[in-house]
Amino acid sequence: MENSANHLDIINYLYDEMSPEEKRKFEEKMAHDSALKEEVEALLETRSLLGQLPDKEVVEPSVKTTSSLIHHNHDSFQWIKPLVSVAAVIVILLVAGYLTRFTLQYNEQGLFISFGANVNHQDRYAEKSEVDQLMKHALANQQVTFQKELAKTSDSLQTLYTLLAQFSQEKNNQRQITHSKAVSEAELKKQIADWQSVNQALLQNYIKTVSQQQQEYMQDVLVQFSDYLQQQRENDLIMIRQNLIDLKDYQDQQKQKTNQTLVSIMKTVNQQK
Amino acid sequence: MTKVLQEIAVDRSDSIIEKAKKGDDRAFNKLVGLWFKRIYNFCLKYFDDHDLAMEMTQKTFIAMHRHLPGIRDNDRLKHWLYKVARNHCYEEGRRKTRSSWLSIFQNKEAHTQPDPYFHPERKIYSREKEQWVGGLLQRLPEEQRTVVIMKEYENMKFREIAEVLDVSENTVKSRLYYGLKSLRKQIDNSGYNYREEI
Repeated sequence: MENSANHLDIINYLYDEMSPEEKRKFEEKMAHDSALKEEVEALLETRSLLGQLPDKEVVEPSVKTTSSLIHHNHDSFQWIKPLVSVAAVIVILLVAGYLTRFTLQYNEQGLFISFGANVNHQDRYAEKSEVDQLMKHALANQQVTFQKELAKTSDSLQTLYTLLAQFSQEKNNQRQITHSKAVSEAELKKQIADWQSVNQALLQNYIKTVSQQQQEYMQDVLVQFSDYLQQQRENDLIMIRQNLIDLKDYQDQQKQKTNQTLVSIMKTVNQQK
Repeated sequence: MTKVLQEIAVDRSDSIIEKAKKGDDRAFNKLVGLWFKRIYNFCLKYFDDHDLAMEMTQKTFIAMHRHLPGIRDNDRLKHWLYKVARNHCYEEGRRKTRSSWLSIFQNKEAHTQPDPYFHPERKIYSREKEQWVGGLLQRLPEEQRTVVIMKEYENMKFREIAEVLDVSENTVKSRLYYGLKSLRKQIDNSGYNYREEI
């Protein structure tokens, strides 16, 4: 019954889209075709199950449709944003410049920028001999430092070499001791069993700790969730109470209006008499 | 009774639409009041998520505020609203990346009114069943889900659904058939005892 020729008929039948004649024919067909009947019944049951998902009540938010707010504000003042941003940046730069005593000087010797003090550009050029002397001094210092570092490195290497020799000697001694001792199979098994028991204890401890943490976490979550539900319920009750008060006010107003209307009708009737 | 009154109000909303078109805020509010619940429930069944449903509903009415003066035929407002709501839902569905487990901590009944015939056991069972049915809908492909919701819950005619979705009536019927079949298959495979009553 899954061929494409019949599924439209099934849908038409299920949603009562058939004429009485078509419906009679389809029901006759169903009576002779058990597979078709079964399929239609299954789909009817599916529809009935879908019907058990009810609509939810919802409180629509009060819409403030101030069209001027939505359109005009948005469109008319769109150009202000970048201008305000640029102005803010300029103000920030000016304040920062003032606070840091920023100075900018330009003369025939070039452009000079300084923070906190004026640039003394008269002292910026040294004589050639001074420069040579400074460089010689710096090179001499560098050579002395290099010699010192070289001596230090050489000492370190010597120490390292001595340590390595000692370590190698100890290793050889240990190897000889190990060979001299014959470890029995029973001792080995005992050692492994010890390790296993330690591992097991560690694992159990870990699992216990983790499960405790999870329990605490779940309890926390449940408490928070419960608080949240309570809060929601209280909010709902407040809202309902408010609505009832509003309703009562409205009814009182209506009653008053009705009374006024009745009085005016009475007056009119009396006048006509 | 309330539903019938609501339908009558919707049918006679022509003058309200006209006033709202001219910028009457009270008329616009009335219009929102008439359609809010329907659009919200459509979005809620589409996503099974209160927050998303509220968001999509609000987007739909913001769009209505912007475009209402451009709607020439007032009778088409219903189609227009469902079309806009469906488009918003479709776009949101495509970029939705929220983890489903988070919904455990979302109060899906926020803003809903309390049940006056409260019975704890029945309530829990019925809520479980509702969640189960809502979950089944979520597993349908978008096209089938939309048609099933519009037909089963919004009581729209096939012609109306076809207009909203811009497809033929037969396509709507096909989608509905395969949607129902798919739901049936899910129900059979779920092993959930939906016949049990408390």
